[in-house]
This record gives sequence, structure tokens and C-alpha cells, in this order.
Amino acid sequence: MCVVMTEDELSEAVALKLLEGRGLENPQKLGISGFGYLKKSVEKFCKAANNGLNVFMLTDLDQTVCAPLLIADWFKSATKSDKFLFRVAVREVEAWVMADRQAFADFFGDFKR
Amino acid sequence: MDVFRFLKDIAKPIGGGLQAAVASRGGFQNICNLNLECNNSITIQIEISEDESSATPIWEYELVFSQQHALTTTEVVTENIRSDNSDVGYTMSLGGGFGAAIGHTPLSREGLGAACIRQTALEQESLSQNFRPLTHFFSNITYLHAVPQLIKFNSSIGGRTLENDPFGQAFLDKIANTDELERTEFLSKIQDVLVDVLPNLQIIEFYSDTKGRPQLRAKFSNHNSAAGWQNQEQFSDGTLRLIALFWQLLDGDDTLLLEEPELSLDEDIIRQLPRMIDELNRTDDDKPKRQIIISTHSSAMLENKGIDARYVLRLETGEGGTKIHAISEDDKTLIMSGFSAAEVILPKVHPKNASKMSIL
Repeated sequence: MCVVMTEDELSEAVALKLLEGRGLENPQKLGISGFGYLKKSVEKFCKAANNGLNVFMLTDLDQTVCAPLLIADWFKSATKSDKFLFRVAVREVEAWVMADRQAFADFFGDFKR
Repeated sequence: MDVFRFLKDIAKPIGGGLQAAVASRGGFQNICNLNLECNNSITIQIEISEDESSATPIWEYELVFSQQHALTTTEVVTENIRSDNSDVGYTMSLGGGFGAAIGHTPLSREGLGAACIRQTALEQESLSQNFRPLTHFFSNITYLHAVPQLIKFNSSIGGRTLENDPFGQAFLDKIANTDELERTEFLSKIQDVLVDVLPNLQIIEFYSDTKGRPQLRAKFSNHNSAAGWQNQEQFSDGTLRLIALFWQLLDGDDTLLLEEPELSLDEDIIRQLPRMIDELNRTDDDKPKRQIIISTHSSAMLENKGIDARYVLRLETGEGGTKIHAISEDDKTLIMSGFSAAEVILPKVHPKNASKMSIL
């Protein structure tokens, strides 16, 4: 099983789509409770991954300088197993959605004009 | 929860029975409609153990009942009662050749008669005496879903109180009819727990008004009336619900069903509810007094790390009816890793398209 953890509804929708692309449907979602909650839960997810669960966490970089700094800050001394997939959207997952120009334009109808 | 209430309705000594239990739910078809896999018969299976660590149950009960289209009466198709005492047991099956036995003594068809088709063994006095602990267990199940307005305005409404008073309508009468010593003891314990969560509360007491009607009143230090007293009509819904809940916890030691005890309560108080329930459900030698089954949607309640997630059941409503899921191995891993039952289990019960409501 795979557990998905994201900070908002858009990130969750994107994360689910990414997993679906890898053939992982209906992963287990934990609550969406924002950036602070995600950061606080990292240690518990490390434990869960060390206990054999697949974990996928997606967060936004926001104002942090770069992804490695965010990872160092969040994980501190926690040991991240290979089963814990941690990804950072630079700077917001909204940028990923908007980068899909065609789909974005289709969604908004005559946005291309 | 209605399974337990249904069994209570069958086993209760006055006004009980299978026919009455089915009729009070709007007929057999209404019960059947809750589950598309019903297939014209309904099966209930119950195992009762001394505690969760017991390997074998002390009682097992199975009831299969149906209704022939042409008939209005509900029929018992199969009924099995097994006890860990091999001398006590009962089997009745319409399909497998009509026969019944208590222990090793077969009962004749004539001895049982048509009553066994219309009635369960639990409601037939001649048979139920052999299964007294089981009948007692079912008939003493208590259900509480206190509705504060019914408690506050019962005398003004003057309505009919439902049997067993599931909504706490006659709660004040119940307090009035309790032995004075016990009443004082219960109210004192309730006061002790409530002052922790309602800091301005000083005293709760019972009295009869000038017309002899039972009343509750409480003294609050921040209340600006001269005497500082409020009676139950001025209590907040949450305070009144807590008092009714705590009273029920103290009163008796049989199985208790609590419907969403979190309603009308402040989040911080809900977080304390599991602890308060556990505290009031202790015997003098600190053992759990009774089994309590609670239905909840509350994240604050399930956040309590004292809750053993093995005993949290998730109800999933689908096309074929409601399915009950015990916690999965993966969920156990998450909880062992430090997550609460609220974080792991609640997201699974959230309606899938609830977020679409915000765009209406």
C-alpha cells in the first residue's frame, strides 16, 4: 500500500494523478492539514516507511531558498528509507499545473486568446 | 448500533419480541432495504466474551429471520444459542427439519409449537430461563442520544416519552426517581469532572420547583445574577449533554451505546471526552465497568492517543449497504509510527466529493 500526504487539495489531486501514472490507484490519503502539519509529521512518516509502508509526500517550496535546504530542515536527524518518496514543487504545485499549457487552456476555454 | 437496539427490543421482558422489534422499524422490508444483499432473510450473529483477550466466547447467538411475501408476520428461520457450558444450548432451524434442543435434551416439535417460528427463544419465558445471562445482556443494553432541548423543555412540550427514553427527554424525572444518596453521589462526581472543563462552574444540584417539577441548577462564578444560579433551561446544550452523558455512565453497568457524544461540545472538551468517559467508567478497583460503544464523526475525539485503534471500526456506506471494517495491518503500522486514529481512519470516511459542495 502507498500512503499519500499533501498540504492542500490541489497538491493531493496532483499527487494522486502522478501515482495513477505509475499504476498506483486508490492510495491511502491522510488528512490535508497544511504545511506545518506536514513538516511535523515527517518523523512519523519516516518510522512508517522504516516499518515497510510506501510513503509519498508532496510539498511546496514556497519561500525557502532551495529544495535541499527544505529537506535538511524538515528531516534533520530522521533517517529516510527508500520507501519514503519526498518531492518538492518549485515553488508551488500550481506552477506544475499551469506549465501544462494545453490542458490549462482547454480547462479555461478561450484562455488562449 | 441498531443491531444492538434490535436485540434489546427482542429480549426486553415488557413489550419485547421479534414481531414488535420488526414492526417498530417500519416492517421487515424497511430493515431489509438497508442492505441490497438482504435476499429476503436477515442474519445477526453475536459473540460475547468476558474481555477482549478471551480466546473463546462465553455466548454465541445467531438469528436468521425472514418474511414470506403473503404474510405480515416475520418468521424465525434459524436460531442458535451456544454457551461455553456445553449443557446449555439451543438450535432451531426451519429448513433443516424442525428440531430444538436445550443441551442434550431434544425438545419435541409439539413442545415448542408454532411459537418458535414467530418468536425467538429469548422472548419465550419457558426457554429464555436457560439463557438468562444472554437475555439479560441484550435486554439491558442502553442507548443514549441526549437531545438538550427535550431535556430543557420536556415539561413545556408535554410530549410522549419514547420507550427507554433514548433522547433523554425524561432525564430530570430519572434523577428525581433516583435514591437520594445515590443522586447526591452521582451529582458530586459529575461536578468534580465538570469543574475541570468548565472553570467557572462551582456547584451542580438537584431541586424540585414550587410545582414539584424536578430541576437542575448550577452556580457559576461569572454569572451576574444576584445569586449566581442558572437552572437547566439556561445551561448550554453542551453542558446539559455532558451532564446526561456522565449520569448515564455512572448509572448501571450494562452495555452502553452512545450516539455522537461530541455534539454541541467545544473542540477542547471533545478532546478530553475519551479520558472523562474512561474515568467515569471505572469500578472502585479501577477496572472498566461496562462495555461502551460510541459512534462519532469527531476528529478531536479520535485524536486522543489513549484510544486503542484495534477497537475503532469504520463504517463504509456503499451500494450494497453498510460494511464494517476493522483496522488494517497498514493502518496499524501508521498508528504504531505515531499517528492518531483520527489521522489514519477519518480520511477514509470523508465523503468523496464533499469539496464540490463549496462550488454550489
